[in-house]
Amino acid sequence: MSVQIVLALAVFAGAYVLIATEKVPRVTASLGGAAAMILIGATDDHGIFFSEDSGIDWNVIFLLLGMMIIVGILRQTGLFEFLAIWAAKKARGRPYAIMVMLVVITAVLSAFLDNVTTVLLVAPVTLLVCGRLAVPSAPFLIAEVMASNIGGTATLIGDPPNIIIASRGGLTFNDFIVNLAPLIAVLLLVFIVLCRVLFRSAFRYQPERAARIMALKEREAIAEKALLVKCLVVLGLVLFGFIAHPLTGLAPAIVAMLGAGLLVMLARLEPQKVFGDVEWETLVFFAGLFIMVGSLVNLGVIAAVGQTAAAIVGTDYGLAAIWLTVVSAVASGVIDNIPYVATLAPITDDLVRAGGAAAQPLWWALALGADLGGNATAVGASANVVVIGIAKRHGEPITFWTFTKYGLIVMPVTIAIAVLYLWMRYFV
Amino acid sequence: MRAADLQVALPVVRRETTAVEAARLIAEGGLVGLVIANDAGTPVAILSAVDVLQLMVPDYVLDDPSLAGVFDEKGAAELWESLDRRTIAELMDDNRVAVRKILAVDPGDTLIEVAARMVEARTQIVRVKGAPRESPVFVTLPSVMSAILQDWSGTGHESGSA
Repeated sequence: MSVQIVLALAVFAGAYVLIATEKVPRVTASLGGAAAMILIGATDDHGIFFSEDSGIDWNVIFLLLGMMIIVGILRQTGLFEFLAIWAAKKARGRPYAIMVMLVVITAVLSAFLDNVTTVLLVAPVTLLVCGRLAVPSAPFLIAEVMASNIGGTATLIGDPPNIIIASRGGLTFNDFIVNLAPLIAVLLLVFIVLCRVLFRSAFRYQPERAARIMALKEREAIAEKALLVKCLVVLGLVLFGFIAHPLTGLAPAIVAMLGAGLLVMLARLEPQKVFGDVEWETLVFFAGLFIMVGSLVNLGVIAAVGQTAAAIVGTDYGLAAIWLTVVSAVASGVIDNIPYVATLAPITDDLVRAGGAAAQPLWWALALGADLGGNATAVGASANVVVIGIAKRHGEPITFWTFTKYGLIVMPVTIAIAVLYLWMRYFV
Repeated sequence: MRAADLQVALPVVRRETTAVEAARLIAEGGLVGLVIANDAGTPVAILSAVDVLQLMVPDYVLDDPSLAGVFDEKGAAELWESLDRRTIAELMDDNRVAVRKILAVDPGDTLIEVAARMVEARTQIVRVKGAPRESPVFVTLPSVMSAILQDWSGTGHESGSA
């Protein structure tokens, strides 16, 4: 092993530790690691900007950017608040029915929006509803964020790890829908049943409190009807663009950017409102990660790990899929699933190339493990951390262990079902 | 005109002051902000009246202002139920609120000196040095404005003319 490889591995491990421990902002760790890789000669400008194998994955960056712009405009319409209050009224103020409605809404929205954005949209209206009902908000917030992590697994755009997997594996929007969405529908049903048991003490029905829910005027939440119509039309076109990929050949990133451009033209909002919700730090964090992982690709480290993994796995891809799901779930429970998937994706790619169609389900194993694993602990997913922050500010804090005691039930149950699904569908 | 000519006594609140008490002081005294004292009773910080108003609005409405429209009048009135449980301490500990350290001016500072320091610190109230700790005195933004207008009129301008 050369000195350069040892240095590169040390830089990579150091950046990983800094990201996991949050000793410095994750974008600082990612960019610092990328800079160190350049300094030790593990990559160069051509590799960073133009290499498909070892450079920044522009498909991922621009898909995220396009969707951030679209969602940033959409959230100003009040659609999400309308839906949540409408659902609470349909449930006639009954707490469990409201939780079911909010869980379903959150999961479905998360399939098409970033999870953090989804919980940021749903949490305030949840606090309003819980306040009206005089029930604790923590069970509702925890259920929603878990539903968000489950729902986000269903599609290519639902969770950033899926975007990385799709780009690296050449997988389409429809591939995700066909292979993951049916399982996610089942997991959602199971999760709804689990909620009835896990949060049973939160479902105190008080008719006089339910009346306060029925008095809310959900239509007032819609800020601009014309903007809402424009957003829904563009979002519909973007989804159609994703689905029509086999006909048009347009990559998801191009579809998202075209949609974002069209909506910016139609919405005619000031730049701050258009781009205010774009998480530039996240995009730069991704770029830094890609440079670090790409450096390991350049040095042959990823290929060596891939070959070792291929030798261990042999042709037993069923067992490999189970291991990949379980290990990914455990890892994602404690570290950010984005760097985890950014690292595992090229290794999985090597395994899938070696194994052909028989090894293809490894991609779904990686996606399921990394996405569903985020429910295990309070720090398993960015959305969890965001919701815990909101709850604290509201004066009803959710401690690490309060969240994790539920997560350590939900994650194993969903992962067990996912493993069963993978085995039955692809390996029997 | 000097700072000493503009000084007035103002009510001083503490961290444990409730939102109801704070609101009453602002409403009845027509105050632009509140002076916060530490445990020893020394004025240490300023909260603007709009920051105190923030204490009265539910945090989920602050996060998502479109939710303000979904309440009817009765529902909105119910939101004030918890005001007597909320305290100034919540605002002081909220990183979204700009709690300003109180600025002190000398009694002999001129009007322009006081005005410039207020603008520089973006504060509506400054403490005048030299008063006993148990009866502090302050200069407020309206009194500075009023003094400026008075000076302006004194230079031959008609009050109310362009």
